[in-house]
Amino acid sequence: MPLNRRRGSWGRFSGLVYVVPAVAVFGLFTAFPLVENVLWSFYHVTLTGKDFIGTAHYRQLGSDPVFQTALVNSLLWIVLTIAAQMTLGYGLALLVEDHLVFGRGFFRTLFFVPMVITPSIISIVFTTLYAPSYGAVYGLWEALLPNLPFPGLLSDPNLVTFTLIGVNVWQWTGFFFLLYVAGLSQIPVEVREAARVDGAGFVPLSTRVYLPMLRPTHLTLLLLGTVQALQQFPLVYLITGGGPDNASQILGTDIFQEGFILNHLGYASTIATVLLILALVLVVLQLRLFGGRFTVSQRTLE
Amino acid sequence: MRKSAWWQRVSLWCAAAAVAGASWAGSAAASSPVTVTLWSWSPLSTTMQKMVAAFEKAHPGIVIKPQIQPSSTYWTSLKAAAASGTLPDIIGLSAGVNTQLYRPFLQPLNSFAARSWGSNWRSRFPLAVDHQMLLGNPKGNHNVYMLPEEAEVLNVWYNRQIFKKLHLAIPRTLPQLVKVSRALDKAGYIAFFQGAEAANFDQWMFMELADQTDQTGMLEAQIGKPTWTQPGMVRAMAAWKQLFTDGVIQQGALGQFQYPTGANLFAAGRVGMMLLGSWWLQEAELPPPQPAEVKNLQAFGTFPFPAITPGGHPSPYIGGIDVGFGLTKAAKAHEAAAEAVLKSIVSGRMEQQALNTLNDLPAFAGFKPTIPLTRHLNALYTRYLKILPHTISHEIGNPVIGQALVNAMQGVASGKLTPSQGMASVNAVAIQQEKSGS
Repeated sequence: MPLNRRRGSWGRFSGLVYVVPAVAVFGLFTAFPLVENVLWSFYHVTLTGKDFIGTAHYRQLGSDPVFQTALVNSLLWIVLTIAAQMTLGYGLALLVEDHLVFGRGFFRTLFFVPMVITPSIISIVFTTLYAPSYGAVYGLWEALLPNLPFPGLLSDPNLVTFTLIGVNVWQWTGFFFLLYVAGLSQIPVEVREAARVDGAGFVPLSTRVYLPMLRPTHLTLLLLGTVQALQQFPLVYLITGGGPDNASQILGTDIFQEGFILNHLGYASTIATVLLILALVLVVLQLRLFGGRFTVSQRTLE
Repeated sequence: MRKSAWWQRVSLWCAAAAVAGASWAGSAAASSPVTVTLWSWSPLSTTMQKMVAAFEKAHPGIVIKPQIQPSSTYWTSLKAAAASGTLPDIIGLSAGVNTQLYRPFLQPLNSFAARSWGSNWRSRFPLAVDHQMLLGNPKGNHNVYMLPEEAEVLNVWYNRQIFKKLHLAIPRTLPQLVKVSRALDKAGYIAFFQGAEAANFDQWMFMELADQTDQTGMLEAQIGKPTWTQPGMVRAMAAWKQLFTDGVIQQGALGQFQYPTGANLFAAGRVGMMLLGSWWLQEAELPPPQPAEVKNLQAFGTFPFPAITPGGHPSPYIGGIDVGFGLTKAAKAHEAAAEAVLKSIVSGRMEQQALNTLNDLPAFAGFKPTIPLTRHLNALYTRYLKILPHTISHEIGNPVIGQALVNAMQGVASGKLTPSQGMASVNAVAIQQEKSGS
């Protein structure tokens, strides 16, 4: 007699019982806040109650220059941080794994250290480094380019977002590096040896052999990088607060400003909903484009 | 038989223990003190501990559970607590928008104040403080929902040692300020540090300037009237821009905060001048390690912001409530105890303890620190006490307008906007807020 028939109705429902805790936790801490947030975006919300206002907040987005700046900056964060972190992470991984004989462990640790530093410390360090008149970057600039005015890295509205992206790249490249190191270690030795026997030097090896074989790592990093860039908040909040004149606002800091400084809780929920939709669209797009190809296919190996 | 006796003995012991436990619990319940919960961002945690100790010593039946958080997290926590119905009994509040935001959760304090200090209790507070207690109340609502504990006065602080070393005199006019700034800059100091990323310090700097060029317009603007494009207001914004172009405010100011960066540099003797307030006095009483210059504030002095128009006067002193406290509706469960704590915070032992750490100035008349002060420190404190009743309110009632002003100031300083464009953008927000009744 089959096992599930012997167990009777319990056998049929036992699986469901086992998933109840996970579903309950997901429902309470993920699904409920998400649904509640979307609902709030249609209300004028105060601490004591809320009034239904339909799509007014969504129409307001079109005429809100701060939201538009935040949206553009968030997209810039995604594109620039991922491009820079992938390029630097891959380059460093190649140098350390393929060209270093001694000290690999040291460099792996060194590049990963920024990942474990709290954003508040990073913000203090970089604010001091970039400060005009006493910062280290200023000192270097004065020594190398004494006749050129020092750029307002954190005070120039045209530069500030790029400066902050630079800080993010400094912090996160180590993570990308580590994943590439793990990816490189998965490439069979025979493949490397065969390529070398065929006369492949550093450039062909890294661009025509490793790069395609690391496809699953690229896709994973693309996905994680997108989520990380969209979730960014502490670096911007702590270093510039979104300024000057909202020039460095991203969606996360704009939500905070609207919700907790200007007390527009409903409008903040609207921006949060836009952020949610943007994240979903980008992730679904990536999954659609690259499918489930998060593992190395046999064809690639061959 | 032996077994039965053993069980009987155990049962008796258990019964005796249960009776003893019950009677102990009963007596504990009978004499258990009332707990009053208090949240705030100010005064500092160490100061609050001293205040609580002083109160509890005099009131053995009341225990205060304080929770002091940095202001960045405090307001977020408070919002979450209000939304979830878990506010403490007493909450720290700033004047205007924050008091108004929590008004539905607060008790009117007029009758408590009248019982505590008599029917003319409002006269015990300086004019600017009294004005700010009611800031943002709906028309016709004369209730007070927070009582101020401490007041503040803003002005320029300067490093006397640096000025003496460079033979500089206190500037009284804008050209003098520019000249002094250049001398400081040439000597390797940051002339005038302004953390122009910090919204409140930008607003206060604008008030310092606009109170010289259009004081009436500024006061009206603070209560929501769209007076931002009046000539005097635009002139103030132009002066703000001039502080950048003439090299008074340091390079990169738009990327720096007043706290902690500016305050630390100032304390370390690397800054000549800075817009600060009476709260800077507390540096003298902070625990070591302190830079030698900060000890007793011997190296520091104050002056009003110089006149920005030819033949004009330096800025009048601006100020008002530093921190106040409100009684939430949750405090009704133990009203007497909560009121005793609030009274002590405003005009009792707790207030005295706060003043003895030089936390700031007393909002309630008749108080001053009772600790020994150096001659210089005493002169600074006494001067602030004399100025306090004459200060002009430094609070913008509507945060949306306040934020628009900060954005405009940053836009003008960075060259993105002209002073007229900047003020027009603030005025547009003020008109929109006025229309929407915010």
